[in-house]
Amino acid sequence: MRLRRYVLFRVLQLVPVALVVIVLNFLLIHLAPGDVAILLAGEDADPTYMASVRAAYGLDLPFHEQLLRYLGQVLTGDLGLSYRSRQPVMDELMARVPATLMLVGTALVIAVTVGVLVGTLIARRPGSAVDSVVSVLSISLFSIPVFWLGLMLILWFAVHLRWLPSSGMGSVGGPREGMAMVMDVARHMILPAVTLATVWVGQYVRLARTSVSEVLAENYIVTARAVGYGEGTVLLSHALRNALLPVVTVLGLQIGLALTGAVLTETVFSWPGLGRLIYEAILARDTPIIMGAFIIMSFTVALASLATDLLYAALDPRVSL
Amino acid sequence: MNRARVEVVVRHLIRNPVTVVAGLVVLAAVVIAAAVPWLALPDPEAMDFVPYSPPSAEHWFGTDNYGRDLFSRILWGTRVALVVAIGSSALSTLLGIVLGSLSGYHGGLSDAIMSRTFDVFLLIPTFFLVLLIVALFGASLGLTMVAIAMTTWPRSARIMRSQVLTLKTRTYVQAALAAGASAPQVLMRHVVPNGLAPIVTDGTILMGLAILTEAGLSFLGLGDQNTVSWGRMIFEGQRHLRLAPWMSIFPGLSMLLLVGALNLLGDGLNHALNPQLRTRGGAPRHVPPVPPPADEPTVEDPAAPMLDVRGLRLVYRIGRREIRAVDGVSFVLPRGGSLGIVGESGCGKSSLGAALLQVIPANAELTAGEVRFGGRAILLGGRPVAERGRRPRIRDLRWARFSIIFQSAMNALNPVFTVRRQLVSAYRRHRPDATPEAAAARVFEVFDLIGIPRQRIDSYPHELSGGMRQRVMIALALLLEPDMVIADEPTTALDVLIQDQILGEIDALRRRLGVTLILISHDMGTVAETCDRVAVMYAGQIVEIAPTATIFERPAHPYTRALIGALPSLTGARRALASLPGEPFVAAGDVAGCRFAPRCGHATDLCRATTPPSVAVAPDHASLCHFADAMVAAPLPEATA
Amino acid sequence: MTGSAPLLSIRGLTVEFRLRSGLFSRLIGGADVVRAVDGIDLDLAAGATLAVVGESGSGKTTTGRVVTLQERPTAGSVRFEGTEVATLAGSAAKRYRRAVQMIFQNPYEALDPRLTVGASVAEPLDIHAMGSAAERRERAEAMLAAVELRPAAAFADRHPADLSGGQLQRVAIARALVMEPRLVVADEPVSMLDVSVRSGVMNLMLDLQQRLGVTYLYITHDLAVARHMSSRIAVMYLGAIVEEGPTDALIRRAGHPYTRLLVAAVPEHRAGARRARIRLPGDAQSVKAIPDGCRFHPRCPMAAEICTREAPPKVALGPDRWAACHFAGEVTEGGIRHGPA
Repeated sequence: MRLRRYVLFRVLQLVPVALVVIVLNFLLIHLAPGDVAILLAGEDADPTYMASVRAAYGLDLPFHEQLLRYLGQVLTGDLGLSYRSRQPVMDELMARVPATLMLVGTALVIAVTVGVLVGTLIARRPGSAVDSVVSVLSISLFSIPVFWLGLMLILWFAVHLRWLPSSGMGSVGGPREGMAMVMDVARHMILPAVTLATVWVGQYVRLARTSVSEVLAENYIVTARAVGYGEGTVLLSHALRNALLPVVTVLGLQIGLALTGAVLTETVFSWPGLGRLIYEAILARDTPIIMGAFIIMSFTVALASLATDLLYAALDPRVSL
Repeated sequence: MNRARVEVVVRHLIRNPVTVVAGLVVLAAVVIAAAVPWLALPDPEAMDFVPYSPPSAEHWFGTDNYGRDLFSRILWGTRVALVVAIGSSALSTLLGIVLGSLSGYHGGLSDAIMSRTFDVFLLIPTFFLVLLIVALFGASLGLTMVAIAMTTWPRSARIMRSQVLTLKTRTYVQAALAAGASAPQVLMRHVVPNGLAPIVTDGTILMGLAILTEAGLSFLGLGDQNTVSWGRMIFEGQRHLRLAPWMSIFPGLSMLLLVGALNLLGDGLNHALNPQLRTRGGAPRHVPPVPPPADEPTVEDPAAPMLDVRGLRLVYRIGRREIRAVDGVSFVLPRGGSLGIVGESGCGKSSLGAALLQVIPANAELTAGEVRFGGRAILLGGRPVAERGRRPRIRDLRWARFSIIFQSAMNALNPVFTVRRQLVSAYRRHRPDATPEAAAARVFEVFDLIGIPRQRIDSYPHELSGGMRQRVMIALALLLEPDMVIADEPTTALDVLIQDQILGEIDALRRRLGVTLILISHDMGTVAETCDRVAVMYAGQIVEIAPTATIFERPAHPYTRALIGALPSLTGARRALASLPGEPFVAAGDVAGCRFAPRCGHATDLCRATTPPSVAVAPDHASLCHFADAMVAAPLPEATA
Repeated sequence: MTGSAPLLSIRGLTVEFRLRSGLFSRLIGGADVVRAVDGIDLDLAAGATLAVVGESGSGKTTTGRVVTLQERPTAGSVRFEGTEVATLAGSAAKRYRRAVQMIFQNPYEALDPRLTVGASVAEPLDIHAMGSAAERRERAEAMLAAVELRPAAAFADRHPADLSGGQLQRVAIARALVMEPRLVVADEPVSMLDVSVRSGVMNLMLDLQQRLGVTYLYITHDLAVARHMSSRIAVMYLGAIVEEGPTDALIRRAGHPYTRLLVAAVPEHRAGARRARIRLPGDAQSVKAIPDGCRFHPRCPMAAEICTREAPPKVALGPDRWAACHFAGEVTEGGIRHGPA
């Protein structure tokens, strides 16, 4: 009951986010220098296409009607046509989602798992030498420019050692089905996933370290020790659930940054995901794709934040409206 | 922040070598950025040299595909990086401070709307917005800075808002308002200056973020074409990665160095402002156990006292300081007896309770003392006692025979688990054969005993009233029918009537179940009714111990007398209250003389020079005072009024 | 209240708060309303001390905050020297604040950590632009000396972090008294201090009252402290005053079972004898759900059927005393009777 009300409320909260993002998109394209039609259709578009774009966006209508029309279009999933391919932007983007999801998901799982594990171990001895070293190391890790790290890993593992492929999602002429294909994709994913996970892991190490050591100072932990639980039980059954709460919060807030990292990494490794598409769109000045990507990314972040909030509510009985 | 506080923060900062190095790196970057036009460097845009030259004595970082000197380009790039960092974080922080303060201070509907707005903007993936802005409006450094600030300000605003929300409940803000100050006056004088520290700390992290964002844009080809930025250098270098890796390596390293230094500086600042962050919590230290004494009886002696404590000492280490919270405490508690331990905050009474059960924080250490439970040693020389190859004896005693009631208002129950889960698992921890149903049945039994409605078992702690939460804590402590219970401030923070009820319940249960009790309290009155004996603690020591009636009728220590005299009475004659000058003493190292002497009206040179012995003024009445015998004989303040 | 007109007179004071302040509930206006203070009457005689005694949630602090205009009443009147003040605004409110000051509970947050002690004490003078900077400093130092922080000049230059709890509360008292107010609302000023320091602060407040003739509205949960500080006591429970009277008479012969229980709950260590505690039928109640009839009936050991139905009237127990209990006369004479009537 409590959770159902909460879910409903949180879903309602997505509405303003969606509105702000769409309106922002609309305003930006209208404020940008140059003719909106040219921005959307490309400079060298033929007149018939240009006219069809004008009609589709209602560019001859009054401003507020344009906005309403645009809102309606976006909310029904119509993000316009890519001017390069003349394909619906929605289709172009959706075609790239699985690759990005796979890469981001893998890297996040690695980063969170390793981060929480290391952070928890370090938290048992706050202020120790190991703690200080790991702390400096983790801060250094999330200070690395992700695309640069990607290049460095390519330089070492692909160029110098020739252990791993440097780009793409599969070998040219490689296996197209079965276990062999899975292994081939996995091999291609190692470098980009490790790149992302390396940059992210520091954050989770620090977070878990702070959070676990804070929880270990709580009185209910003293109670648990006095009750006679061993230190392992105290940590796993009594401290970890409380300690994970801030990790979940930050996870939600970091999805946006995570996608940023993904775009840059995909660019470096030519990973055929959304990031690569955005990069190509920038090079080709394909504005509809960039706008669509912003909308899709915003919605993704909002949904991810909703998911983490719900996870939080499930973990912490004190959460109410 | 005042001068003294600044000094403390600076001391913390410079004690941390990493922060110092990070600070120096940032400083160096600032100097380079300012001085670069005057340095004797080749023009960063001049294509004067041999392309693709590897690093050499002439070109430290080599040259690029156009034959430009990379060392010169990197130094010029520092300028761009810092301009972006400072410009966008200053803009973002300023916006955040203004909007965050307004939102937090005024509260109400405008706050509700504004904070929701912050939340909405916080959800917008900043990089993609910046990307769109720059793609639509063309790449320029100024626009990039504004765009970055436009996406990071909600973060600053949120920090400022929560600062202001906390600060405006501060008494000094309320006092200024009550004195007639206007809202803007209070905001400018008290709220904003006190709330700035975290937002400034976060500013350094924002600076790092801004540098990375600009670099990311440049790497995607959206950098300002007219500036030498590290990101753009990597963007150019990537195409020549195999041929001239140095084109990518050095700008990336520079960025890592500067961003890392900024983040480390922010982290160092944060820790200097909140020094407890670094050392709070942690798991307890493992202390190797010692074997029991050879002459000890193999089974528990029913005639032996329940608890026999000798020379117990507990030390906290905070940074380089050492605080003796418990400093040579000895007492004997017979089976079924009850001892009240009374003292003011910081006297070491709670540390004593934790030390007896050996559940001390990670930064504490038992440095001396013996504790015997039912005649068998559980602590010797400050170390746990265990038979060869067995686990420490205390671990078998905990909860099954020796439990503790904490002050439940202080989060003594785990907030994320139901009462059922916490109590049932505690029971089954010690009775592994019991089914969950059997354990729950036992829980109900104890609930009935204490007067907790049975349906409360499925509540979470936060769903219970303060009194009910405290009762659940008591139920937890009595679950396994222990012989010995420590109650550590069990009624503090509860309302008067509830306090009285719970004290009554503890007292009745103790009698009915024959439990041996230690009741720790700051309130003489609380222990007086429940305990046979009272020990008064001051500065880590028991300064007086005696039967309850004796301690109130014939106190033999000036501190005890002051405590009794300081209590206003409800029924006695109204009289002037005794008060003590000065502040409680904190024992850091060895002390010469009496610890109470600085506050004692009767102190002589003897007291200041010589540590007082334990004087037995009667067979069961001891006092740590040179003049204990005279004190006992002196009339109480009540009689003089 | 005999003789001259009261300094402060409260009639029918009611304060309501909205419980939930989320945007959503605000917009739809469906917020739960809580009545923190429910139509109370109080009179304060000049130069005397009235103690308001109650547990958390009794509305005692809210009452004090209304008197110092930090909160505005939902209904009722607050008259200071005959003038209605609850609706004052602007410069009139500012003038009133010169006459009525407050001492707060938490001494550790009482002073701005950035300011010197002297600056904090002089702050009210700054706000009201009283005197030159040198005169303000002089008055602040004189006030520090008056609260026994000597040498005052040295204390004036120190920062709050260097002071102990007792010293901080003395500074807070100095700040409250520096404008020579007529009335000071003291909200639990010693409850966060250690016992050995507490008595010094109480003594100081009594001493200052003698010298300056200031009136105190003393808010506390501790009856023994109330007795020490006041000449009259009003006992509050869940937003209402349940009993009021001269301090000694009220403590010795209380007419409300709640007062009786409060008196009994003070551990009287000197007596040494074990008291027979009465087991109360109910647990603490909250203002979120004020019981019907007598608001104390769910916890009252002698609650009768009438108590669940009818709110008790104010029963006069003497010229200056009353209690809001259906059985006030009986309780005054014979104390609490076990079991319902």
